[in-house]
Amino acid sequence: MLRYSAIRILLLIPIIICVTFIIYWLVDMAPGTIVDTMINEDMTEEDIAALYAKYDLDKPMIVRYGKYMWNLLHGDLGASQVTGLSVWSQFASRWPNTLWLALFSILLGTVVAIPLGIFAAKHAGSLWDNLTTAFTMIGISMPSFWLGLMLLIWFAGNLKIFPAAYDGTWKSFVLPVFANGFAMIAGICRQTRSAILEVSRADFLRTARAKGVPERQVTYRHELGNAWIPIITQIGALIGITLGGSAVIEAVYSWPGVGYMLVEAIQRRDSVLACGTVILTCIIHAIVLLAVDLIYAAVDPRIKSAYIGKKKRRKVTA
Amino acid sequence: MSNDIENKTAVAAAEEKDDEVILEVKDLVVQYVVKKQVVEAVNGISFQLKKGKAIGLVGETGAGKTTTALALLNLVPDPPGIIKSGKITVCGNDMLSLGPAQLEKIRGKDISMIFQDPMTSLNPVMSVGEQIAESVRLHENVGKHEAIQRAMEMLELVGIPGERAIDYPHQFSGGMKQRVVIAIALACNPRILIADEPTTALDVTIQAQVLSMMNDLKVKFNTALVMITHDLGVVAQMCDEVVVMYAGSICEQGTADEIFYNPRHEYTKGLMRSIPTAANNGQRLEPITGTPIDLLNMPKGCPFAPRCENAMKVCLTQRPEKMIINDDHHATCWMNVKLGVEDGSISLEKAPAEGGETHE
Repeated sequence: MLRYSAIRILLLIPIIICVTFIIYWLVDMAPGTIVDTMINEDMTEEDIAALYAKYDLDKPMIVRYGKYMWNLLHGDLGASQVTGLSVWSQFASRWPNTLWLALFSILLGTVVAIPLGIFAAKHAGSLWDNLTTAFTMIGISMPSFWLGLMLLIWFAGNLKIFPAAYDGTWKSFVLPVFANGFAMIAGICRQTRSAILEVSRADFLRTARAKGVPERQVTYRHELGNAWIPIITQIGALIGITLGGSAVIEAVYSWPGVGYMLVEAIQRRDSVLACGTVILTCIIHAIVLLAVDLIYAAVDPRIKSAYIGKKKRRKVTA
Repeated sequence: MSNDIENKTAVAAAEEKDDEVILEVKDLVVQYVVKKQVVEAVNGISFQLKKGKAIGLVGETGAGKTTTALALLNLVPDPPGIIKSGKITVCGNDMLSLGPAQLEKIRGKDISMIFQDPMTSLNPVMSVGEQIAESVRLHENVGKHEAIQRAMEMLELVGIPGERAIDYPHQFSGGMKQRVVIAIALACNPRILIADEPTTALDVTIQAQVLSMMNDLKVKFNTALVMITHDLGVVAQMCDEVVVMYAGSICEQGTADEIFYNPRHEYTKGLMRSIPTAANNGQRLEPITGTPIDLLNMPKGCPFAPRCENAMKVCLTQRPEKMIINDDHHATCWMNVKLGVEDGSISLEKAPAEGGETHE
């Protein structure tokens, strides 16, 4: 399994090359450069030319990209073109905020969605099931920025219960976590419902009932035990996305996370910061997906045996 | 194999009379409601089973054998199935009036079932040891370690090395999975064991092994056996009594000897003709023509009449009722009346529907 993990990590290299190239290229294509944000009327032609030279903007994009990749190869993500701070330190100071927001949203999503999904599946076709389906349809269809803004207007603007922006207290977490988690509840709930329904006709449930297993245990041990794969896939994808920063929600709540940082960097044409953020996000995403794959092996012995070689299999002891 | 299981059996056997009836089914009716249409999958069947005896349920696919078996556990899938009426008594418990908690205590402990398809009957994400131990832990007051120990003993009993308890179903072959399914069913030493086509999914060499193993266990633990099969050879080998089912009803019932040497229903006779024996060696087998009856469009008369070579006029218009052949044998076939009239043992005064001494 170690070998598999190593291969997966190595596969990141071509991904990073592609992603950085695309980002660099897009930033280059976008009208305006970092220099445009610095020019003022007092500057002479030479000053401006010097600025262009300082940021290598007088050279073709491919040369700049090559230089950037060369530095990256030496572990240097460069420094923000705006603040001059290293990309690494900026990312490190912002990422915990994103991490906490992501973890709380996922926690909310999972804790609510899985029991709700099981409930809907157990009552499939009933009024309760339809209500749950309607609820999840709303959750999935509603754009999170809209929900975020509405929550902001009601609870921060009118009622003044929660702060509108990040202030370091737990209260400032409530609105973004809910705005972020709501769509997750919907997604995970639907996935749970369909996964449970799919398993619910399996013959081994009958075997379990025939040996006298109580219905609750049939559901949580036998049914859910076999329904985990699609649910984990969904949760893993959501973790990957939110850990990379939910740019929209972070922007709505002025949340000092990496998503908001990326948006700012692009707005300021700070291609080094934008590129560095995307690379780090990309690595985090890949690690999460790898973790999800390894969790598959933990919940499904059939997948595990595909990872472990045949010779090793017999070594497992009781 | 552990001694305490054997001891327990010995104690249990001493407490009870040998001819105690431990399973009784009376006028069982099970319906499936599909798109508002009612299908009578099982239509008024009755039988009883004594301790340590084996009864065979024989019939084609769709005859209601598996539904009957599930009804014995009160596990008919609902929806679409409902046990409409009848009475099922398992070791003195009325299965149809008990609540879920009481049923859970009886299932797996007093009565358990070996399922038809070993490939899908095991939970793929639980080790086989856990699946056997789960049953032990539910019914006996033992710790986790002890339960696993028992699971390993059960595996040994069915001919699988105990250390394979940690393996998962996908690491076993089909025959071994079937043995695991049997081990699960036997884990708590049930007094009644239902075996639903336990050998259908297996290849012939394994079939014989599994059957002889089940026979050994039956003798060893004095377990009563309900054997569901369409293999008459299996029935001849294992069963004391035979119930032949057709279209949800019993068409003939009796001791194995009576059924095999003196079949009195055209369907049973057809079944006998369609198996190869030493006597018909080299000759062409005679299959029963046609397909099982569509339960949604039951004919007015005998359900087997459309396929019966010897069907008479009365067979198409009137459904025969239970006719007693002798104390150990009854059948529902108009041929019995015809034969009775021909050899003079029955005299007809009115229409055959009303009359006949053999008519119950």
